[in-house]
Amino acid sequence: MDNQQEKRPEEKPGTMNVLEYVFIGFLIMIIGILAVAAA
Amino acid sequence: MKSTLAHPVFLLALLIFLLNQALEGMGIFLRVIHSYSDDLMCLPVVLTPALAGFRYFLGSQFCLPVSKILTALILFSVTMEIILPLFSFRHIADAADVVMYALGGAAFHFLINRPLNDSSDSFTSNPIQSYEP
Repeated sequence: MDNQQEKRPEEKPGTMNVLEYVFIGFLIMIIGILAVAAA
Repeated sequence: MKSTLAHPVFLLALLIFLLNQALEGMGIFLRVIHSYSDDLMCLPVVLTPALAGFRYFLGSQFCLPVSKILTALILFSVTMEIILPLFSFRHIADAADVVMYALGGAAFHFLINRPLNDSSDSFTSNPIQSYEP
């Protein structure tokens, strides 16, 4: 039980690049939500 | 991933953020807290779920590089303090807000953005793994 590991997808080439875009998209989405919520 | 989102500093920041929103919703505005707490809590609250997402794919030892934190800091500062005040009277430019974003980013980096101490395999053997573009 103690050695139970979290399952996650295999690393693939280009994963980091995709995550880069997802990260920027996530930030823009949050900023958009905050901007609309405050408007 | 769960451990990242269960970090006490993240939970505290989220609690303070939600508490302030609840108070503002009830019409209670505590001057300094109303002005600056959201900005201070912003980066820890936003970047911790992002860190959890990165760790899902890249391993529990992954840490967000400083470049990512600076990207978030610049995006929030430029949007909230420069662009939005030009188009909306409800947004007020305040240099102190940028300082609060930076303090929140520093708190995230030094308190939350640390490798998790668990037995799951990591992307590399480096205990403090960080991606630099």
